[in-house]
Amino acid sequence: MRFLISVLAAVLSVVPALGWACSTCKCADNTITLFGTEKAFSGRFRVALDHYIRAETSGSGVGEQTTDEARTTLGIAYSLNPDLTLALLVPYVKKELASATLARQEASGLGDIDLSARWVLHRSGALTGRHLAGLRGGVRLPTSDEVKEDGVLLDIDVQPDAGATAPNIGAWYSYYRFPWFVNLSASYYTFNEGHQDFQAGDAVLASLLAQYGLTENLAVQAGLDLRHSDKNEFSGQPDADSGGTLGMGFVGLALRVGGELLLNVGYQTPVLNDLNGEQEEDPAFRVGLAYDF
Amino acid sequence: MKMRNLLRSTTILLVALAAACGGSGSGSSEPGIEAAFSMTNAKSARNQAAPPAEAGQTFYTAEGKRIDLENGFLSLSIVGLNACPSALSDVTKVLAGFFVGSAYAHGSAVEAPEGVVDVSKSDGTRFNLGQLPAMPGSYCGVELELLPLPQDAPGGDVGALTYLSPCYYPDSNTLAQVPGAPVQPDEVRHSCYKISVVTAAPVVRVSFPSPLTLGDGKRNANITIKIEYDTWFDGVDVPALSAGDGHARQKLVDNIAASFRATTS
Repeated sequence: MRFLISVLAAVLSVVPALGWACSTCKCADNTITLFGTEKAFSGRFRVALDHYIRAETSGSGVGEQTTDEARTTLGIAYSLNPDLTLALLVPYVKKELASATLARQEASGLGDIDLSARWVLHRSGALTGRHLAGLRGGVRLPTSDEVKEDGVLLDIDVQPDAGATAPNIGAWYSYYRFPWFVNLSASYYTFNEGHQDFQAGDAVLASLLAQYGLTENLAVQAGLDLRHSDKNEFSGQPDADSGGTLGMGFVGLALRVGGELLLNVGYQTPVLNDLNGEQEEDPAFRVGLAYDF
Repeated sequence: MKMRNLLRSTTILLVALAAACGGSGSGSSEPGIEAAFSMTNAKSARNQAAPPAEAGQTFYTAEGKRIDLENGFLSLSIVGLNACPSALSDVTKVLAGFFVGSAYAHGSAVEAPEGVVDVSKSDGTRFNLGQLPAMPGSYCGVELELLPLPQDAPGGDVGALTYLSPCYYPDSNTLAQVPGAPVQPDEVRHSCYKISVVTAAPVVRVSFPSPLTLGDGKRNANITIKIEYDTWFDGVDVPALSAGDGHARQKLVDNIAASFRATTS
């Protein structure tokens, strides 16, 4: 944890002093962009708070269990220059695990922190660019709490996160032409062993988001998120009810309030379920805000 | 500009504080429904007055033939609880098998390997069969699976369902059943056997005396399975059984499957 604080202090020390300015003016683009899809410019500093609610059911019969998860993520993104943005995501997770046997477990705590960088390798079009593309990479750190009750660890399925280091790399493309905005990205995550001999399966994530600005301050969004992952393992034994392919359709609204504050709300529902074994993903709900300092 | 820098610094410090809060997670748990299983051995009502044996158990078959059982090994596991309503007639799934039997003298009892129940132990010996989670509902019985004995069990036959060491008294129609009755010389004539029964593992359903309801109000249950081992040789021609007779083997396996009784608390 001292390491993290040191990293944050180092980030703090390199944040340059900037005057008050309209962030969208600085990139000459009125597109409403959520956290992680904004155009970079030197010194852009964005903070976001995101709350995500989901639920899944796995197993069958006496082994069936439902996990309800509420994940609140605090994010900071800082652009060193127009081509490189660094980001930090700090999740706080609350999970509840309910079994068909009426057994219940509940845990909350810090999740695994993400550090990432986003590079712009291609830029074309007017001014700051209409077509932008590049690479992204990062690492998920094993920072999550291991929650215990009376000294006994709770089930890995109810722990805030896996507690595993997960390097990841990917590519992205964005199209900015108000009122349209399209973002396409794909990333590969490889997981090391986490808490309780749990090994999450490596995963490929892909996301497509299309947005149409009804006005300069209000946009509607639709998208598709795909995830394909290998089976998880417990002590080297694969979990039959894990991994596979899941597609979640997304609809949402994004609203700009004033010059710098962005609000968003979204709803996700499964549109493709090719998960292994007995698994079912429920619809998910997301609400968040982002602010440019 | 100073205000913006102050806000940025404050934000980063807040994030640092949030990250520093790691290790302060909290949690709670509530156990689910669980049934604990144990097994015990006992004679049926008709043999409650049978005389104690020097070793093992002495009892009489339904035909009045005396058996001194020096070993009776079984290995079984709990498959699960049977929800009500269901057809709860005892069933066995015996596929095919063969018999290995040989004659021995009295006093050749051996210790059961770990995980194996020896029904020739003193009546009331309790064997722990473990716990199983269960869903809310009403249950009318339990399903057991008789497992092959471990390969290091006496007899050494791969896939043996049971290992028995009975001494059989073919002329014991009245032996010790009538207190004070004179014992005839023929009545103490007997033969002792060591028999490994090799057959496919049957699944047995045992009914409860009354439905067991599990739920929020009752999350724990104890289920005791009693084996009335003295019924195993009813109608069984023991010498033929030892010689590998298929009819005798099937009768023995049927008797074993029917010898289980279950109680709940």
